[in-house]
This record gives sequence, structure tokens and C-alpha cells, in this order.
Amino acid sequence: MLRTIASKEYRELLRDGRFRWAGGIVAGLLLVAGLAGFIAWREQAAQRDAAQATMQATWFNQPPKNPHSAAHYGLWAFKPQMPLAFVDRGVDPYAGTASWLEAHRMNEFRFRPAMDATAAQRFGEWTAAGVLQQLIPLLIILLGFSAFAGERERGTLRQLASLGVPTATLLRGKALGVTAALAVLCVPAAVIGAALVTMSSGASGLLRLGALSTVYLAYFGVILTVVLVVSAQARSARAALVTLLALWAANGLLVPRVAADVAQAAFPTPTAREFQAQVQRALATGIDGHSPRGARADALRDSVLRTNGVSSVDSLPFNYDGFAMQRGEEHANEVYAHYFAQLWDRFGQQDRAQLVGTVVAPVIAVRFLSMGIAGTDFGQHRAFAEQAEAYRQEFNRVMNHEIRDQARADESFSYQADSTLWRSIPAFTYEAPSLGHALATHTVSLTALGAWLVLAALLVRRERRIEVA
Amino acid sequence: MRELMAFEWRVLRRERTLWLVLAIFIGLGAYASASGARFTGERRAAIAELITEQCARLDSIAALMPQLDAGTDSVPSFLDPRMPAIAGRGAAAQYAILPPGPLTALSIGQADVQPFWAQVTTRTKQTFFVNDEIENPARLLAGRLDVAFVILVVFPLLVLALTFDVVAGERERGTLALVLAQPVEPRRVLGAKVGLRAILVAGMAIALSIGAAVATGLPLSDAQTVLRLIAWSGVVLLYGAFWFSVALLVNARRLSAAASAVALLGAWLLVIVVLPALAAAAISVTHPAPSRIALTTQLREATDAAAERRQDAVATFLLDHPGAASDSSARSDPFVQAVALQDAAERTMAPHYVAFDAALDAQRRAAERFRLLSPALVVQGALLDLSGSGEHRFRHYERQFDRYHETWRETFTARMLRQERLNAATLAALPAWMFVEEGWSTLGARLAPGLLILLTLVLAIGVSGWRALDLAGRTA
Repeated sequence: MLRTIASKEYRELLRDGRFRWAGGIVAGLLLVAGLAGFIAWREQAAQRDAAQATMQATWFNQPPKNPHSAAHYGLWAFKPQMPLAFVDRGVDPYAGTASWLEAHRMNEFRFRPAMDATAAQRFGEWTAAGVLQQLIPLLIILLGFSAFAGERERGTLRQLASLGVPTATLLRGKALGVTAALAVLCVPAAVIGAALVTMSSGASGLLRLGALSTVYLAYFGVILTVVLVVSAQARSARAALVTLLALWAANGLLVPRVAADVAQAAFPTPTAREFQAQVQRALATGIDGHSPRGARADALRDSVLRTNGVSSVDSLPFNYDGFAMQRGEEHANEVYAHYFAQLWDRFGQQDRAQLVGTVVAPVIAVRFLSMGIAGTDFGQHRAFAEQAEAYRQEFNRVMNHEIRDQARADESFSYQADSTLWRSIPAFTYEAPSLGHALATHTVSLTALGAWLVLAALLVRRERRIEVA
Repeated sequence: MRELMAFEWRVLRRERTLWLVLAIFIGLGAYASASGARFTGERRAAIAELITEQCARLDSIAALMPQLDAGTDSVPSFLDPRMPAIAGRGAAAQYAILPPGPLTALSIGQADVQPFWAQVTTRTKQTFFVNDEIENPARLLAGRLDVAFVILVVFPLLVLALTFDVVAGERERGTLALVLAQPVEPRRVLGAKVGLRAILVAGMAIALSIGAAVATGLPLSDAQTVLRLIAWSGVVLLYGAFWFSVALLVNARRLSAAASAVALLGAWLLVIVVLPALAAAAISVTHPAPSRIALTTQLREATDAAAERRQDAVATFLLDHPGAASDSSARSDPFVQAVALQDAAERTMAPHYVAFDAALDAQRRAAERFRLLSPALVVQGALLDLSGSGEHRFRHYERQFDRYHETWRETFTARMLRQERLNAATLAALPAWMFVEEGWSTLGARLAPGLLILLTLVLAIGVSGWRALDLAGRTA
């Protein structure tokens, strides 16, 4: 019986011109979004890889110079494109793509791609993830809003009931029918997606694509349940459609924006100037604010002289400037690490606060999970920033130690090193967090989506009796 | 006619839909206004902070200078603010500030991803034109619920909710036959129904624009702001008229109320989602943004190349900048050398910069063309442009900025070569930054084509819809 109901629903949907149109449009948009995303992705990935290679070469090929000059020369770290970024660009357009690694300071990320895009693109641009998050639910609404309400209006629901069809079977059959109709669209999309992912990253991307598909299937399941339940409860097909559209607009258009505003109001971030001022203050006076730079320098020199039992830095067995610069560097590292961690943790708090909105808008949890799996969430941006910073600290350490160990007391800034030193530091590479690691940072989103699934199951179970007229 | 409209109003005001629509509209409008006011408030506070910092810094230098001259105070030479090279490179640097646009509180647009200030120094623009405001990228991704969003996306839905069943509603309730039995011309009845709804829609459009302007605290005593607000309201009216005329056309098709609702929803999806998506995809595929990453590596290579030919760079620089107090001392001055190297690198970079800007401008122009695909994009462009939060005002800022930067550099280079020392008086006379808004003629020329096309479209759809609209035919 289940099969009969499902196949009736499926055939009816496929034969309805309106749904063929709507499905065709959504499928077309998914295709356009996926392909346009892939073309841009490939272009940007190539540009980035070429630029990083050039940048690394400029570092390796520096002429002989003072190691501290080399540290000031520094190099840029460009953020690589994650394999699934063409499906879900996540925060990439808004988080900056490059950071300059230099002596003494940790720089913020620069070049947000969104700044160089046009407002028309920001309004109209759809990634494949956007289509999956917003338009497929709309399609599910169009496919399912009249499943019960329509039959009730036509009087066929009463007939079905008189045949003794159990409500649960009817509900499952209709769900299956709509799912089958949806699969006509989603399965080819997944196949094309898999082909593109294989082209971009080989088999490793397929695991992530699998995880991504699971999340979206769960999301569609939740939406479908809500649609069928509303259709079963609504007085008329028109009422069902209006209710569902209102829910859709709240889920996709309104609640995520409001949640982001509320999160910012609840956990405010400093302005760029405030942040810089905090950092400068801490650099000058220490994080505790009680050890001014001059006093720190004096204390360091005195203690070094005491431990080595000499009266002047010139008599030390190593170059004091190199030593002191590294100490200064370490202090700065500590300050930057402290304030950047504070800022990034604040973003994390805001993101978790946004997730409260999931109570009414499951799309928020799905959005975070989708970015996480695609490798484009803020957590993974932060991972890149932290690895770049570790690289910056490392080359500064090597440069300072070179001066400390190799330069005579009077040649701190005239001592010259050559490319052997520059090449002694391996090229910068980014180790992206594994899928498991990325997902582990999204337990709240996973739980929220899970809770929605449980709720959906409960709603289905509760639907024992449906008014037939 | 007025009587008929009054009857219609009595019917309409007893429907839940009207009040629901108005409640949603007012609620969202209020939220969006508050959100926009908050954004511009934060921006203004940040700008005030910058100006305070700049004044304090310049005052302290001005106070320090006479003491240094008199020898009552001393600083290391690399911090001496009287040296043009030191002052121009940071100590006396001024902020080139882009204030929030006249109506940014109504439409935040791109303002949240564009830098709004830069501390102009004698160094290359690439080193300081990078001040992104700190913002959680997840929030930027979510987008803003500002008044422009309410107008572009939600307002059409509300217009459609009010107008989808002007005729079908009466027919389905079975009252159409009764109406036709009255001794009134059907056309006049229709006119009353349509006219009343038109007044409602227009009222909503104007009320939202003016209400939001008042709620966000825009300076309504300023003529420029008021002019822009009038233009903005006109655009919103036109947009409302577009959706209204589409509804008329669908009403004329004699569909059932449910079918016309679905058809209108399809139109909404087409205009708000599908066509903009195609336009955006077309822009990003045909005109991808030029790569800042590539520019960064090119600048580095140019700088390295200049450093390898240091003497050549200095010689060329001194040829280009006659007026040095002493050529030989200039040649050995490390500050002159630094500026000369930068100059040489910039000369190598010039074609890259030109290409970058040309690509960006071409992308902007392409975006303007592709906008014409969807009325929603035309209106979005107009609203953003009028409020000053789109890409054009930013490019306008960038161009002024480039000129200011150029002047700044020339001023300091000349003084450095003449081996002048700055004093409090010269400090006060340094070129000051002043942002000038775009003129109406530029703005109008940019907006006119799209809006005229939209107006033609509205008239064509509206007139044909009104002509085809008929009460006769099937009454049940």
C-alpha cells in the first residue's frame, strides 16, 4: 500500500506542469551556481598557488643581508581554496585571504573578496549551498503543501479514510512520493557535484561531499516533515501554502539576520581601532599593564649580565641584540596571541549565540555545519591564521638566533647571512584540519539538527488522526 | 468613485490579511530602521575616535616642535617630527575618512565590507589602504536586515498578498455576481478596487521611506538628504508600482485565487532570485574581480627589482624631482633613498595598477548592464546609489583618495629634498582631507537608464493588465 501511495504522489507531481517548472528552475540554478562557483574556484586556486610559490621564492632568493632585515622583509601567507569551497564558500568572501608575516607584529587578514565584488553579486549570487539551504526547501513546500490539504478540499481524503488506509502509512507514502520527486533533481546534482569534487580534490573530497549530503538530507527530511504536518493540519491548501511560505521566509530570510544582530549585541566586538589600541598598550606596558617596555628591557639586561657574571653586554658569549630581540619578539607573540584569541573566541561566542535562532530556523545550524564540512567556516580560517602565525614566529626566531649565535657584539645589524639561512626554514604549508576535527567544533549545530530530526519524528508519530473534512 | 472606494475599504479592513500585512510591514520596518541607525551610529563613533586621535597627535607634535627647535627637548632622529620624511610617513599622517552615505542608515549595502578610512602616508597605497572594520564574518555572511532589504524582498510579498485575488476572491466567494447585478459600471467597481489597493501600496512605500528616515534620525533639515530621500521614495514607489502592475496582469488571467497566488509567487522568485542569480553568475564569470593577491606579489617583485638597482633609482628620482638643496647630500640621504626606491617600484607597478583599476571598473560597468535583467537589481542599484553605500560612491572616494595621496606625497617629497624642517605653522598648512559627494548629474546619469526602462516596463505591464482586467466572464 505504501508503494501505491508513494507512486501515486510521485506520478502526480511529475505530471504537474507547475512542479516541472519549479523543479527545472531550481535544478538550473543549482547547476549555474555549482558551475559558476567551480569556474571561479579553479581560477582563484590557481592564482593563489602561483602567488604563494612566487612569494616563497622571493624569500628563499633574498640576497645576502642582515637576518633582521630578512625578518622585516617577511613574506605573505595566502589562504588556499578548500576543495569544497565551490559548493559552500562559507565565510571566505568575508574573512580576508592574505596575511603579511613580518617581524614584530602579527597582522590582520586583508583582502576580503566581498569588497571587490559588486552589490549586485552580493544580492544575487547563489552558491550551491545557498540553493540547497533556501530554494530546495521552497521546492519541497511547493511539492508538498497540498498533499493533505488538497485531497481534503477535493474530498478524496474522506474516501481514502473509508478504505481503511492507516494515517501513518498515508503520511509515509506521501513523504516517500515527494522524496522520489525530489530525488529526480537531487541525485543528478549529487553526481555532478561528485564529478566536480573528484576533479578538484580527488577521493578525499568525496568523504566530505558524503558528509555534506547527509547534513542536507537530514535538513530536507525536517523540512518535508514540517510541510506534510502543516498540510495535514491546515484548513485549506491556501492556508497551508501561506503558513509554509511564512515559515520559509522566517527560516531563510529573517531569523538568520536577526540572530546575527542579536549575537553581536550580546557579545560585542571591539572596533578595529580599539583593538589596535589595546594591542599597542599591551605591547608597551605588558598584558598586565604594569611592566613598561623600558623597565622590562633594563630588567632583562641586568638579569642576563648577572647570570653570565659579566658587567657589559659586549663581554657576553653571544650577541645580546639578537637575544634581546627574540625576547621582545616572544613578548609581542604573547600579546598578539592573547588579543587575537580573545577576539576569535568572541566570534565563536557570537556564532554559538546565533545558533539559538536554530530553535525557529534550522537553516542556521545547517549553514554552520555546511561551512564546517566544506572547510570554509571561521574555525578553519582561524586554523590557517594560527599556522601562518606559527610560521611567522618560527622564522623570526631563526633570524634572531642567527644574530645571537653568529654575529659579533658590534655587528648586530651589519652581520650578513645568505640564502643558506633563508632556505633552512621549510616553505610554508597549510595543514587543513581533518573532517572529524572540523565537525567536532560544530557539536552544537549537530545536536540542534539532531534535535530537529527527533522533533520531526515525534511530529510524524503524533499525526495519528487527520481531519478528513 | 469615492463612495465605491469607501465600500471597498470597509470590506478590506475587515479582512485579517490587511492587518497582518501591515503589522509585519511596520514590525520589520521598525527593526530595520533600528538596525541601520545602529550601524551608522557605530560608524560615526569610530570616525569621531579617529579624528580625536588625529587632533591629539597633531597637537602634541605642534607642541613638541618649538621645544625641539629650542633644544629644551630631544627625540631620536628617526622620530623627529620636524623631518618631512618622518612626519609624512606617519607622525603627521592624516585620516582620509569616508563618512557614511547620506542614507546609509536605510541601506547598509556594501558599506560593511568596504574600508571607510585610511591613514594617508607617503608610503604606497597598498600598505595602508587595508582597514577593514572588525566584524564577525559569519554576520557579514548572514547579511543585514536593513530597510532596503525589507523593500526589495519583503515589500513585494506584501503587495502581492494584498492584490492576488482582487477579482478571483469575489468570484470564489460568489459575490461577483451580486456586484455585477448592481447598477454600477463594472469598470468603476474595478477602478475602486484597484485604486484603493494602489493607494495602500503607495502609502506603504512612502510611509516606510519617510518613517524609516525619521526613525533612523536622518538630518531632515539638510536639503541634500531630503532630495535624496525624495528620490529614494520615488524609486520605492516605482518598485511598488511594478509589483502592483504584475499583480494586475495576473488578475486579468482569470485564474483561481490559489493559482494566481502561485503564479505571483513564481514571478517573485523569478525577479528576486532567478534573474539576479543569473546576473551575478554572468558578472563573476565574465568579469571576475582582479586579484589583489597577484598585485601583492607583483609589488614585491617590483620593490626587489628597484632595490637591486638602488643607485639608478636614486638618480632617476633626483632627475624627476629637481629642486634638491644639494644633490650629493640627497644621494646619500637614507630617507631620499627609501622614497626613490618606492618611486621606482611604483613606476614598475603603474601599469599593473592601471590594469587592476580598469578591470574593477569594467566589472562595475558589466554589473550595471546585467542589473537590467531584473527590476529588483535595478531598484537595488538605485537605492544603494542614492543612499551612498554601493560601489560607485566608494570608487568616487578612492579616486579622491588617490589624488589626495598624490598631493601628500608631492608636498613631503619637495620639502624633504629642500631639506626643510617642519614647524607648527607648516604643520597646520598641510593638505587637509575633504570628501566631496558625487554630484546629482553623475548620479542621475547612472540611475536614469535603468529607472526609465523600469518605468516603461511598469507602464506597459500596468496598462495591458488594466485593459485585460475584466469583471465579466465566468462569475462562478
